[in-house]
Amino acid sequence: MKENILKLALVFCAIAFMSASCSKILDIAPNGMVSLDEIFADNDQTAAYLNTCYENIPEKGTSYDQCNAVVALTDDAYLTYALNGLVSKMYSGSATAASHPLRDSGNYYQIYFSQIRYCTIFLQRIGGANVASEDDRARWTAEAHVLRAYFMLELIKWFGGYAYNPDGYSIDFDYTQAVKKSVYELAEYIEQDCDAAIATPQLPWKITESSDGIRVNKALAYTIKATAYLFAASPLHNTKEKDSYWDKAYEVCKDAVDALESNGYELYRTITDNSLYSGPAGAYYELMSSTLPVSLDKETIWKGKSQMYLTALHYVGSLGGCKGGLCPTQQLVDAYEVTNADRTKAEPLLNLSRPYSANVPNFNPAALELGYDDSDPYKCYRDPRMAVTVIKNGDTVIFQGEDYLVETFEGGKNGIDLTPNLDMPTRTGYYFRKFIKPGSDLTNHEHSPAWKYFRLAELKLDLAEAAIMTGNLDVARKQINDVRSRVGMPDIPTSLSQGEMLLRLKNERRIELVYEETRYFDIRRWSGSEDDLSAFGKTLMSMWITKNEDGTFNYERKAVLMNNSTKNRDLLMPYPYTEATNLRSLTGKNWQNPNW
Amino acid sequence: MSVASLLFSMTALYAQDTTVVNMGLVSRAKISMSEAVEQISGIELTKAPTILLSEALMGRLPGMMTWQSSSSLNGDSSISKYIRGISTMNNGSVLVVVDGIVMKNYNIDYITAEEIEDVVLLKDAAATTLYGCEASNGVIVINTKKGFSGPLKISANIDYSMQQVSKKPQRITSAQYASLRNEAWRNDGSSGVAPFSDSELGLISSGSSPLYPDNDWYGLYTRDIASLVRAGINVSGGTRKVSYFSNVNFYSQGSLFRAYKSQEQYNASPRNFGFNFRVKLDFEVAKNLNAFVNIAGNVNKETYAGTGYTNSSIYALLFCDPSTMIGPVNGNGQIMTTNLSGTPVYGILNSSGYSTKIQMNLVTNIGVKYDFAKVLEGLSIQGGLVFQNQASRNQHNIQDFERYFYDYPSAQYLKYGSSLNTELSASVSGTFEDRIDYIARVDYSRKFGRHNVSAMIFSDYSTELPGTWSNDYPAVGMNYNRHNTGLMASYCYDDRYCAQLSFGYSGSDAFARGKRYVFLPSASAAWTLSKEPFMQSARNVMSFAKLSASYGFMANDRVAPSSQLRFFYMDYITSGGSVRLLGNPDLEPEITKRWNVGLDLEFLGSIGLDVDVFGDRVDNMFISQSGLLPEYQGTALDAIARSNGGRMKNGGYEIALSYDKTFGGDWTVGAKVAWSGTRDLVIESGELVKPSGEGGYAYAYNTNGYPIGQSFGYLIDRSNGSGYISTTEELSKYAAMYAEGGLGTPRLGDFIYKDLNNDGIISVKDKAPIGKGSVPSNQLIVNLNLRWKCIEFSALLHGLFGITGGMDYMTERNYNGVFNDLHLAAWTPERAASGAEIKYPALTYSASSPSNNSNDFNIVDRSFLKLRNVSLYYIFPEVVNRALKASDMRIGLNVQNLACWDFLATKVMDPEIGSMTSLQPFRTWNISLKLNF
Repeated sequence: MKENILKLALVFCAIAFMSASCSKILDIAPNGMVSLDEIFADNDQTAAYLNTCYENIPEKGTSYDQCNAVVALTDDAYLTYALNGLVSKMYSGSATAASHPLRDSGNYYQIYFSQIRYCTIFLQRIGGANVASEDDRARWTAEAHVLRAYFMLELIKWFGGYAYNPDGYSIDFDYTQAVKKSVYELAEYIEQDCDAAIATPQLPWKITESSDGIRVNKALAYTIKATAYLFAASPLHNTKEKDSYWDKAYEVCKDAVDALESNGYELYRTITDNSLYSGPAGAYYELMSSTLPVSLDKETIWKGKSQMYLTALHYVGSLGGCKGGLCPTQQLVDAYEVTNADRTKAEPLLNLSRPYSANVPNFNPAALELGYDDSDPYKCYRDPRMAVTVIKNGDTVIFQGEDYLVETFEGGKNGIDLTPNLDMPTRTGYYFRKFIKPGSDLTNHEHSPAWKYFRLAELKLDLAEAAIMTGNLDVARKQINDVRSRVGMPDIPTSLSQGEMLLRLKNERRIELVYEETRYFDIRRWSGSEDDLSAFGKTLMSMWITKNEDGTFNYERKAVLMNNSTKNRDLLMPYPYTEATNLRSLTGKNWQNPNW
Repeated sequence: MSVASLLFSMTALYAQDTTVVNMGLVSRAKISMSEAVEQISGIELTKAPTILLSEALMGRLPGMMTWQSSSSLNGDSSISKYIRGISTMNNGSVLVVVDGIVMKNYNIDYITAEEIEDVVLLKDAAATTLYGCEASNGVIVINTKKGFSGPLKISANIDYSMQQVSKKPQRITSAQYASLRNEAWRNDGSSGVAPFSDSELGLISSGSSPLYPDNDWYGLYTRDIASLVRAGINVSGGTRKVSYFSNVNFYSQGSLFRAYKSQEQYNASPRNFGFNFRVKLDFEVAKNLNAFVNIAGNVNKETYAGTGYTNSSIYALLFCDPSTMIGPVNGNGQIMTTNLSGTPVYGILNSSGYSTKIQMNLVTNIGVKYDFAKVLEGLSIQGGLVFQNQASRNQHNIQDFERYFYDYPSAQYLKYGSSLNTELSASVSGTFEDRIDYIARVDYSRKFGRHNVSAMIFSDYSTELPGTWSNDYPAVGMNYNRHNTGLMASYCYDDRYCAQLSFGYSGSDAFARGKRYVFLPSASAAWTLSKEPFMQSARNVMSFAKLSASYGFMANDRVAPSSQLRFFYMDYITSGGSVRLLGNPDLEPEITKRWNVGLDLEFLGSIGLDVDVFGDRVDNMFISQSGLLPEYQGTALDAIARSNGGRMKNGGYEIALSYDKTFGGDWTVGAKVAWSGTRDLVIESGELVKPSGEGGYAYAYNTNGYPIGQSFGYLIDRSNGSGYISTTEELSKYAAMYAEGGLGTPRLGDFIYKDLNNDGIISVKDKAPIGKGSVPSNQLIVNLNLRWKCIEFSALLHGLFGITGGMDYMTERNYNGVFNDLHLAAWTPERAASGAEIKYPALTYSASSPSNNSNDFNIVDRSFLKLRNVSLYYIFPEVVNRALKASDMRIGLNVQNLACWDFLATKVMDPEIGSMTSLQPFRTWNISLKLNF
């Protein structure tokens, strides 16, 4: 009896024992998941977290579905092989809030907000983190500020205003009270972030070590701040007509240019490699197409990693297998000023306030006086930047060590062709040269230099714009003339009125910064919120050249290429459809950008 | 003549029924039990000529809805099972228990009917509570035959089946194909040269040019009949101290395809072969101490073409190539394809190599039981260990082949792609998964006069190693650990009043400490009215009446099983800070509360009526909170923490009427008609309401307020008589409405959709719910068994009603154009004008055509009624038996899936499958021979 009860007892003990160790037997084994506390308790893991903040910086360049889509959607260029890809759908105008090819190619909305969140958490935690050196802590904090400001700026450029809280969002945040902030309010947050970085001595002015890669610097902080206010002051985002934000924009831009120019930044004016580059625009061309060391290139403020393989994608069509790809339009070519032989006089080719009437150009009489003849348009002298940006009929490029004559006339070797579904030929009669090193081709080829996100010339033109809008015409003139003199162009006349100066400035900005993705955002922010972009590239113009039997050419303008993403709604990118619907349900207000 | 045992089980006369229902962990006397269960004998399952147990169970158990969503001969048919509808949005799979042990799928699939004693379906909370967190969707309990102390008993069976495809695809001749392609091209308003010029059409119809053949790829490669051979033997018996049961089965499944072998090295037609076995040994080790060893398993060898092309994947490839394609090889012996497909069946079957997969599944269950007969009569204690595993090894012998297509413009054969003719090259891969259970239990069961008492306490700790892993998400490959314990007590008085109380205490590693264990109580009671004195007078009419009721809790711990994420209570942050998942430490298992009321009646000793009504609800269903947060807070929406904020409910009924009677010794009839219905409703799923009202959505919710799986689509406006855009006025009217809404450009012959929110445009805001959810509303089972002297006949009719689902109709732009019988009657201006019947919108090449959206043309009622099984047996007379020294010999003919009635517009798609390019269910003709010694 006893032993039986003992057995019973043993059994029950066994079961009880199993139950008691219950919780432990269901614990999981370690498997590589970490917590935020663990990350910030370790120097290397904290640095790794900062690296996560550096992720998803947009590559730009030809990373949009293998072409430079942002440039293709302006009046500067037209993409040849628009079959079923991103640009083709945008050209057809069939984008919707639910499916917007340009937005969806980079998923910008979700990714940039995610990056902003990483930066916010980093900034909240870095104070108490276990960092080896205080210099590191200060520099990393400054970097996180600049990164957050950069992502915020990118969101402003694409989407306009959005909701933002510099302290981040906790799990029980009440989203029903959320409010879309105006671009000016967002610029103020950007200013706070940039100022915090600027005040940090450990953040260098320039990145000189190649091991530092694409780390941000103090000059970038100034630039982001200036650009943010430039957008805030521009007509598209400054909806309160009684408040002018241009004064603030001017003050910020002036600070930025002064600070950069007194800390080692200057325009690149002297050619380094004279065997490849020459002429007044040689330095400009070299800056754009050769990788220069930091000691020589003092103009670039921030460059990335991505390099474009342009001879495969956008070069002279049918030249040893190259594709035409992205080709400059006649509108871009018309933007280059006409000069006299020694470049002491220069005039815009078209009437800048109304360049075209029903696709027929309105020539500036002064330009015609300087010798421009539309029946032989390449005869007279033009802005030197045209020759290094655009390849036209009769130009030479270096191919396999020898000079190669480019023929864009109908039937020529690289002839213009409007037949659909072709990859090689240009549709506009021109090819792009800007980022391609002389002598580079498909087989013997060099990538373009790393993408320059910002350079000093752009900042100077930002200042010029703000200066004109606030009436500081002298300051504006100095900036514009600095940029022009680099390529040997004469100063702009001192007798221009504020409105005329603004038009000249806009044109100067266009040709100086062509192909660098600024035009897309410029034409949008210069528009009023009720305008559309039909004057800026709804129709893209081509130059149709035919060769006569005697070797002379006939030049005919054609306006047959269309880009239907030039409506009022295209001024801003739409919020993702589900996001707009969610926000509408949560707050009761319509968050979607107009007309989407 | 001795009456050989019936091939069907009579629903025994209740009043004298002494059977015990084995529910896995506990057993109950059938006559007095208070839980809601269904029971079916293994003999019924032997009528289904299949190697898969799931197929044998189709349409057999009222209370469990089954349908076959994909068909296959490789043992990977997909059969959906729902016990009493569906009660949660997370993981609706049913738990299967064999001999009281939770079994993995690989140990259930190949169990043969000859090993099964009976199958019991546990329907209500009282029966399933003890199974813990895996059992919230009901439990199927399979009880295999036991050994017994007695003389040796042998039974053998051999079956030969002929499997034919029940619905052949539409045969489109080259002439039809060319005219359909031209029709689509014209409908799209294209200009230029048509896909088939007039001269080409002439060559096609005359059949005179070898460049324009009329190839019937389906007929060329597909056999009319595939064959399956099965053979098995059961040996059982025992002595006083040992009892054993053993069973071995072999099967060989032939291929559906003709290989047209062009080489002698190998045969790549998909086929399989295997065997399964079960050995159960029970022996008395010492006084009151018994031990048992049960081993069961199966070994399968499967052969596939290429890297893994099964019968179903090759079937789908038959539709890639049009009948106008030259082939299978051209004059130079090169394998032909088209420049839009690249996977020619000839190449796959002959020149892609082959793969073999050998899979071994095993379950070993050993244990010891001690009976405390002296100390406390009726008390016993048992402990054991169960080890299940699946190990498989794939041997690939792969080669590749060059493909060519004929380029008509340049009149030459051009190479397609960059494949080269290669030699066979071998590679090997394998998988392994297992599950180990440690089980201990104490049972007490005693009868004191009229009082019948039983109690049980048990503990089952299981650890399962899954077959998948991920280097990116290491948590995926980690063990699943569960600890399931419970206590059950039941009391019965005079088999008249019975009550039962269970407490499950079940824990899972999916939750944080403190939240892991759930307490699951349940109770049930039954009152056998017919035993009451006041009912005795009615005994002649109502021979049995029992009223039962139960209420209890069931739990589910499988939070949104994901291929990447587990442990939803913890943050998953990589060491770099990237957030993969935010955790919610307060997560707890979902608890479903179910009540059940049942009434069992028997009239006149032969007519039975069973009625069960149930309802359940869950108030802490797992949901993702991503629908409640905007994206701008920065965490990706699929990484947001889950919560227990969901709610849903479910309810239904089962009614079964049965009639069992033996007339004068010659005739025996057993018939049963069962009708059941369920209805589920999602109350809260974390869905954010869409703006409705002026210019908003016609339906603000897509999930809340609807059954699970509710389909949404456009409603077709048939007010103009046809529902198609027929006139140019209509075309210009709808062109603006469709373009504004992002639906593209309509043409004549496209559908007209209703503008439900009256905003003048047709957009996603006009989508409406179509039909019901993805779980059928009603099931009908009619089972008829007849015996006359030595002939037995049985028939099983199975119908499912209220299933709505999408049908794969819109295939005219797939590959080179896949056409079915509806496309032959598509809208053209001529057909519309002549008043002929139109079954399909205007054909098109464009994938973005407005008609190619979910709408009430392609989301339809897929209800069906099928004659699942018809069986006829002849029992040999005693003379023959004695000659063979057998006790029972019979020969039978079974037909599975004999006939199907449905509501579909098409004749070439089965309502269960839903597509023409997937293998249709097989109609199987089986001859079987059974012997008992």
